[in-house]
Amino acid sequence: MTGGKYLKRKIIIRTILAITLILFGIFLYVNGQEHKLLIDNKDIIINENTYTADTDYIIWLDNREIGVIEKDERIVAKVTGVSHKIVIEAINDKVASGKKFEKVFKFKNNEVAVINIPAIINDLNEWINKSIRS
Amino acid sequence: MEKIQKIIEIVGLPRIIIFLFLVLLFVLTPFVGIRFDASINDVIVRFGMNAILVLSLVPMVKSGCGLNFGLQLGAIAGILGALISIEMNLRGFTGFFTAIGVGILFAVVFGFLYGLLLNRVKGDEMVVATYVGFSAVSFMSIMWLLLPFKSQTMIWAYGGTGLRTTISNQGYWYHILTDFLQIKIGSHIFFPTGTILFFAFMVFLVWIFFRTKTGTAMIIVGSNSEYARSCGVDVNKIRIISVTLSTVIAAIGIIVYEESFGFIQLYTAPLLISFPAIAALLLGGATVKKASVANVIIGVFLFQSILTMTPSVINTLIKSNMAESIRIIISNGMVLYALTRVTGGRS
Amino acid sequence: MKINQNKTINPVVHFLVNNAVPLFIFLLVIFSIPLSGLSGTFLINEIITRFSRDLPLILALLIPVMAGMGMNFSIVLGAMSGQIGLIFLTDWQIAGVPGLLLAILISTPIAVLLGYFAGVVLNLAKGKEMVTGFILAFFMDGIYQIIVLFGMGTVIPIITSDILLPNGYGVKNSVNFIGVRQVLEKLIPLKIGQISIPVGNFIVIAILCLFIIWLKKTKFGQEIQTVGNSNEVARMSGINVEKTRILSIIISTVLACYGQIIFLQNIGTMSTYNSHQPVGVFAIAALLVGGASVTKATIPHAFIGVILFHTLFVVAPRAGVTLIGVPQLGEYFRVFVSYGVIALSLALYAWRKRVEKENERKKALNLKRSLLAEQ
Repeated sequence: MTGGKYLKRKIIIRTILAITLILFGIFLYVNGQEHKLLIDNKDIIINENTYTADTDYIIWLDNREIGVIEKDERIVAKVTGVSHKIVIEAINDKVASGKKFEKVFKFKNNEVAVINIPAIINDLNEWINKSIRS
Repeated sequence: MEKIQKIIEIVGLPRIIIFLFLVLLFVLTPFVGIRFDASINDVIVRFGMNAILVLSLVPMVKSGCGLNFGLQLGAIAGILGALISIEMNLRGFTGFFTAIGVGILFAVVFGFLYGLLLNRVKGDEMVVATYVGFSAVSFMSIMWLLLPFKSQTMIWAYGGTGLRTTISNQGYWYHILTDFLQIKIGSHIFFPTGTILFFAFMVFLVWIFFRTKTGTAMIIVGSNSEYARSCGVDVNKIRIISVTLSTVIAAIGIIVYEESFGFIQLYTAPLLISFPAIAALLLGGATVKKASVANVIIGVFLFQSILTMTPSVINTLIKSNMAESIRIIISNGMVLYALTRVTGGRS
Repeated sequence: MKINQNKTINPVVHFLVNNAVPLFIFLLVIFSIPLSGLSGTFLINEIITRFSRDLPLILALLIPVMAGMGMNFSIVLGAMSGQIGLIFLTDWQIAGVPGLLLAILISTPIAVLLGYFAGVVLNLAKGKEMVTGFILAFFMDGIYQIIVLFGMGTVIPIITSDILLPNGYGVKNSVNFIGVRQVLEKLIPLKIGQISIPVGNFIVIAILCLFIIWLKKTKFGQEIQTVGNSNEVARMSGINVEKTRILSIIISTVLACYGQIIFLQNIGTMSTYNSHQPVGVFAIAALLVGGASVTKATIPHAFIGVILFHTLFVVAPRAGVTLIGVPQLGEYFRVFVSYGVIALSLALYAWRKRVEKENERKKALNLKRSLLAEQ
């Protein structure tokens, strides 16, 4: 019933379909993966310099306010996908300072990250520490 | 060459493959650190445990009722007998034979009702029987919680309600047959003379039965019910007798099983009891329409050997604990194989 | 039992006999509701939840019935595929709708493979499909155990050691789906008073129903129904009976795979080695309670069945406790009702089939006699 021409077309269409699904699957995987994010408002020592955490901060992750982090506190957050933005604003004496800091970061597969706030304030390169989860 | 081909045709290629596989396993035992004679002992013991249950399938096949997927009914009758015997605190042979006696009483009642049902669903006996069997086990699971048994060895202690899940018969009639005239061969073989003798006795009874007038009528009903009817045989009555007989033998079978195993298992334990028995029978060469005692003996031997040997050999070869999963695969695999081969004609 | 074929059967009696099982369960439910002591709102919420959660699995049963293969117990294989997909999902920590889509993407090929295997086996056991399917589920359970308990973490790489057992390989007994928990339910939340309506689930169910209705109307759907009516007629029309049967089992397995994923994402956790086991029995019992039979099962049957069956599941155990006072009764009672319903339905169906055959035979005999008498 099916001649050679039709059979070849069927195989090509099915291969294209399979490849599309696989690519779609990879897309879902990369963009749907949840990554654990730890945010520290703690003192950090880099190159023998200590950068202290002085005050509380409001945190926005991907333009959504997730709450307040107090001095010396660590909070856990989960973000989905590859690219993210974190914005922090200092709170001095219960009043928002109005001064915001913004950082963008990307996750690779199975990565988790620890972000340090004093490091952000002091514009250090080590403000984020990424590692592969287990 | 032609003679070998003839033998393969009669015995059946799959059976030969399984037999060769078994031989392979036995050969491997010393190399994987398992004692050869201990394995032989296991096989003999398991044969004795299970043979009567498989034997119970024969009357129904001979009468044309098909494979007894409702074996659970007979098992429940036997369990009730065992429980009542322990409740009455009877020990030794008295306890054992009381269990059998009471079990037979229940089995006759269950078998009769079961037979009535099967007569109404001729042609679909096996499927209906399967779920009737399951329903019965589930129903009895409720009953085990509610029935007024009092014996301390059987009910939950400390204020729980109902019977325990497994009840030990140690001290009552545990191993009463196995230890009877036991012959010790070497260091690891304890030949359970009592159990084997009992099985031989049951086989003898069945053999005699099928030489009686009723037995012969049963065989005729099984091979051609129209012809039987024209001979004046009450087909329905014969079928009910065969179902009752099967249920009674099954009741005896489960008590022998418990005698060897050491425990009476309640609740969902008897749920799947029909499947290994049927697989063993079919493995021994029977079909939906034909079964003989030879099928029982060969089948139980093959089935139980594979079930005992394969997991232990594989466990030591792969050094992990896959035994349980492998047992599930093999046991159900054999039933599957048997089901896909049963086309109602020749085996 | 004599049935006088000259008298037309009273339509009420006919209706009662044909729908004995659903009516019986309905009576049980009505009887148990007041005894259970559950409030109306709670009950309605429970029913809506179970409806949206359990229906897809039941829908998976419809196609094999069309193909004349009876109640497909091997949907358990589909459930296993779905679970494997969800295990990978949790390992990779993919969340939300992408998570569900990915689970579907991964488990579908597995479901197709298992469905093909099931179809081939069932073709070898024509006439005994139900029992064979039942055993097939147990058989595949052993293989599933080997893959999940011994393969994962060893041959199959698992990154999240959290879901593995302490000794380093094998998935834990209980896996939590934090990422994909209740994704469908939360998608479009709707609350009317105190009653929550999971619109997301309803949409999915609507899609599944439309798919089944569409399938029936296609050429392939017609072929399935022809095969279901009579293998010989189908073969004479040039239909490849074996292939059609296998394909209908594959479709059923895949739908069951999705059904189990929907079920598990609603519950939020999975009992790795147990969640798939009762799937076949419960779905089939529910379908039969809805009035379906071994040869005829429709979407309305599934709808009615899931509501009646699961309401009974909710109320009867509590009614039982009120009446008798033993708590463990509930679980055994559910299992008993499931098996009992199947046994009853099958027995009634087989009995009716025989009676109809007897009537046909008597009719033919009478016709022959009257023809002879006229000569």
